Amino acid sequence: MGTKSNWSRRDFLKGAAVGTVGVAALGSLNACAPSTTEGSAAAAGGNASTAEAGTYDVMKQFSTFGRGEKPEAVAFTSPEEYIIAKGDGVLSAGGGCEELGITPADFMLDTPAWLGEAPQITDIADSEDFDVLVIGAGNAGTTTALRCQESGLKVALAEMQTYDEYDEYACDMACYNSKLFLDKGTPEVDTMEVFNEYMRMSRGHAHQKIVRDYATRSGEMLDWMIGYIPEDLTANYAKTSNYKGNANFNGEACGQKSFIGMTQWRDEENNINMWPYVIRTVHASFEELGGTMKWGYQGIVLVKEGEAVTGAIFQDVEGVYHQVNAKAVVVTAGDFGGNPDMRLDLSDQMRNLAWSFGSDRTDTGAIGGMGRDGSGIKMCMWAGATMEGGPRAGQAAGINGMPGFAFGGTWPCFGSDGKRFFNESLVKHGSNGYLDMLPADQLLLNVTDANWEENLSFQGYGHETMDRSADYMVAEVRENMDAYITGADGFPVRAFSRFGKEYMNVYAAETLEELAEIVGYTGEAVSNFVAEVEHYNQLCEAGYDSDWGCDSQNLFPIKTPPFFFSFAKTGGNPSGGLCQHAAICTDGRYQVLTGDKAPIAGLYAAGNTCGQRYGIQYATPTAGNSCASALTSGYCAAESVIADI
Amino acid sequence: MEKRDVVVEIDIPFAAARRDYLAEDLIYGWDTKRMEAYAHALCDEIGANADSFKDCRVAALRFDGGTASNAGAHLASIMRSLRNSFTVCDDVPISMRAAISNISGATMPFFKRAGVSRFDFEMMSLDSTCFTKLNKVDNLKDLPIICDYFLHAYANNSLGLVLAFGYTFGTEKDATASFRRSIVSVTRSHASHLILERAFAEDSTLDGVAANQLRQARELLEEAGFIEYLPLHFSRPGFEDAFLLSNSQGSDRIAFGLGAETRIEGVISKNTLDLATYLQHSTDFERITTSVAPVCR
Repeated sequence: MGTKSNWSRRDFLKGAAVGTVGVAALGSLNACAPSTTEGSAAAAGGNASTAEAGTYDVMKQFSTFGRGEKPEAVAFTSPEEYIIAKGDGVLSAGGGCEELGITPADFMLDTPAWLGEAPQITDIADSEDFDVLVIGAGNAGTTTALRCQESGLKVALAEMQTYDEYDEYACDMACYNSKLFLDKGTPEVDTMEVFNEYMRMSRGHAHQKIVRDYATRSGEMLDWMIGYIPEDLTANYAKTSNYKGNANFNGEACGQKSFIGMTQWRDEENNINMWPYVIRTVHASFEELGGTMKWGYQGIVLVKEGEAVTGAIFQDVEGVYHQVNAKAVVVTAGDFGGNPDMRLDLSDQMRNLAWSFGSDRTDTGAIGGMGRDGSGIKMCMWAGATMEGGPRAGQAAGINGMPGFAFGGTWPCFGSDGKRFFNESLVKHGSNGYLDMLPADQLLLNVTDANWEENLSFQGYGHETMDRSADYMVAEVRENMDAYITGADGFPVRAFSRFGKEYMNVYAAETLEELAEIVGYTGEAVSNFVAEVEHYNQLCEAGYDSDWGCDSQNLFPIKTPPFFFSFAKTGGNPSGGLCQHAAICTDGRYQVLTGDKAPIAGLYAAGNTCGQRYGIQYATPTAGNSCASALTSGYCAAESVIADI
Repeated sequence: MEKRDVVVEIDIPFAAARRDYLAEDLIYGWDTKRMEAYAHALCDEIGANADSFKDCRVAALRFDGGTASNAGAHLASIMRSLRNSFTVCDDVPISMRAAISNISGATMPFFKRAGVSRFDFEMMSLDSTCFTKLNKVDNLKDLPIICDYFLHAYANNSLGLVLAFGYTFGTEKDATASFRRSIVSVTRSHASHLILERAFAEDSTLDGVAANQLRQARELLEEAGFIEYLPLHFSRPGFEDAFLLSNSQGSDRIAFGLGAETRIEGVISKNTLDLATYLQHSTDFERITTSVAPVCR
C-alpha cells in the first residue's frame, strides 16, 4: 500500500483541476481499490446452502446482514450462537431443528437480539434528585407527571425531543361520560358495558384492571385534565362526537358494540390537529405547579440499587449524559412500532402475515410501523421487567381493509367478480383480519347512493364506521359531496379524523353501468355487479342479509343516483400500521413486573409502554380509544406512585 | 472571509428491498448495526473534510444516493457533524429521498432535528391498482396519516413525491387509468414537489406507454399549477428544489458517503463504492477516492 500524501483533499483536487496531479499521484489508490465485483455496494445474492446436516448455512439463508457486506462481522460458528444472536428468528424464519441439530427448548431465549445488554454509562455530567421521574412527555407521561406534581411530589418529566421540536401524533381521544359530552346532552354510557366490550374484543387476553380503569375512569381523567387547559382552547378546539348524527344507530352491529365518547382537538377553520399544541399547555401547567421539564433528555438506561429502580441516565442532544434519581420511575416512552428489529421479532401477526404471502419474514421492510423506538421497553427489560407473551396487539390502521369513504362508514362491498363476499359490518378498522389475507389484486368496491348521509345516521362510533366528531366536518363533507363530479377522475372530499386536512378521492356516476366502467369491470363482472346490486336491494327491502349476515341497520339500498363509490385493490402484503400495543407487563397498579410476575420496586409503566391493554389486537368500539387509554393509564398510575411514596 | 455557496449531497445508498425502480448497486436489506456504522463513517468523513472547505457555505443540501431516510435517527447526528464542520446557511433547504415506511415516532423527531424540509417519498403510484405492484408493502393508506400527523404537510410544503411512469400492469388501458388517478391525486394533495421516474427504463417496448403517460402527467400537472423546472421534476411555483436546480446548473457540489461525487472547481472526484473500505477509511480521502477527473466541458 502507498503512503499517505501530505496535501489536503482540497489541494489535491485543485491540482487535479490544472492537471498537475492525477489519481495515481496518491499512490495507494490503484493498488488498494478493490475490483468492482468484490465488496461492492451491491448486496451479495446469497443463495441458501444445500450443505448436509450440521453444516447448514443459516447465515446465508436467514440473516438480513452479513451477506458479504459487513466486514467486521464474525460468522457464527454454531447454531447456538446464531440462535442467541437472532432471538427466535430461526424459528420465525422456518429454520429446521433437525438441520441445526437443536431442540425446541433452544428457542426459549431470554435475550433477543434487539435487546442486547444494558449500556454501561460512566461519564455522567451531573445528577439530580426528585420524588418521581417520568420518562416520556407524551399522553401517558403528561398525565402521570401532572397528577403526581399536583399531589405535592417533586416531579421531573423527561422528554427526548427539545421544547422547540416537540410534536406528538395523537388527536382523537375516546373518554366515556366526560362532562364535555354529558353537558351537551349526550346520553350517559354504561361504562361496565364498555369494559365488557373491550374485554370481549380482547378475547379475555387484556388485563382486566387496566381495561376497567380506562372504561370507567377515562371521562373522569378528561374532566380533570381539562381543568389544566386554558378554557378558550377547550372551547375552540375540543370537538366532541355529535351523537345526534348517529341517532339511528342501535348501539351494536352484529353483536359488536360501539359507544360515543370521542373528542378531537381540531382547529375548525383549518382542520388542523391541535392536540400537539394543547398538550403543551398541560406541560406548562405541570411547570406552574413546580414540576421540572427535562427537554431533550433521551432515556438510555434505568439505575438500580439492589433490586429497586432508583432513577435513570439520560443523554441530551449534545451527547452529554445526565442522571436523574427518584423514589419512583414511571416509564411512558411509547411503543416499539418504529423499531424495525423489534417489529420483526415481536409483531408476530404481521411477520407471519408477510410469511403467509410468501415474503421473506426476516425482512423488516415487509412490516411497517409508525410508533416509537421501543427504548422504554428495553430500559424496563434491562431492569428485570418482562413483556406480555402474546398475542401481541398492534394497530393495523385498516391497511388492506376496505377502501371506505372519506367520511368512514360501513358500506356494501363488491369484489373483482362484481359480487359481495363478506359481512361488511364485521370488519373492524385498525385490526388485522380476514381482508388482510385476501390475495393481491382483489378489487374492493364500496358503493352508496344519494342517501349517503341518512345511511350514516345508522352507523356507530368506531374508526370503521362514522366519525362525526364535529358538525363543521360534516358540513364540509356535505359541501364536497354536493359538488360531486362524475367520471373517472373522481372528486376530492375532506377526510375525517385521522386524515385531517387530507382529501380522499370519491367517485360518482349516474348509472351503475357508468360506475362499472370507471371501476374497470368488464365482461361478466359487469352483469354480475348490476345483478348483485339488484339482489342486494332486495335483501335491504327484506331487512335481512341472508347472504352474508350484514347487520340489518347497515343494509343501505343502492337505488337513487348519483351513486358514490370508492375502490382499491389489495396488495397482498399489508403494512403494520401505527402503534404496537404489546409491551411491559404490569400489575393492576401499573407497577412493572418481572418474569416471576413480582413487582419491581420503584418502577412503573403507563401508556404504550404498559402492555396488556388490548390483548389480541387494537379494538375500536370508539375511535380514539388508544390515546385516551394511554392518558387514563397515566392518570391511574400516578395514584399508585403517590400511594407508594 | 467571503464564502462561496456550494450545495452538499450526502449519499445514503441503502434500500429496504430490491425493487425494479431502484438502482442495482444499492445496499439492500435492513441492518441496524451496519447503518449505525455507516452513519458514524459519514460523520467522520464530514469532520475530516472541514478544513478543506472553509471558504464554502452550504446553500442547499440533499440526502440521496438511495432511500436516504433509511438512516433514520442518525440523520440528526450527520447534520450535527455537518453544521459543526461547515458554514451552513440559515434555513438551508434540505430535501431527502425517503420511504414512508421510515416515518415514525422513532425517526420523525430526528428528521426534524436534522432540518429536513422536504421528503420525496418513493410512492411510485398513489393509486392502489398499481401501487402494490410497484412496491413491496401495501402501505398506501399510511400516506395521509403521515402527511397529517407527522409532516403537517398542509402547513409547511414538506411533502414531495416520486412516482413512476411508463408501466403496464394488466391492460395498458387499466394501467394508464391508474396512472392518471395517481397524478390527479398529486394535484389534490399538499405535495409541493414531484419527481417522475421511468418505471422500466430498459424495456423499449414500453416507450409508447411512457410517452403517453408522461404527456398526460404534464397536462394534468400544468393545469394544477405545477411547473416542470427540470426534466421530469415538477414543483409548485417557488418550491423548486434548490439543490437539484443548482446542481443542474453546474454549481459546486460537495458530496459525502459511499459512491459520492464531489464536483468543485472544475474537478469531479468519486468516492469508493466499497462499503468495507469506506467504513474503515472514511476520514482518509486518499483511501476512499477512486477517481478524479476534470469536468467535461
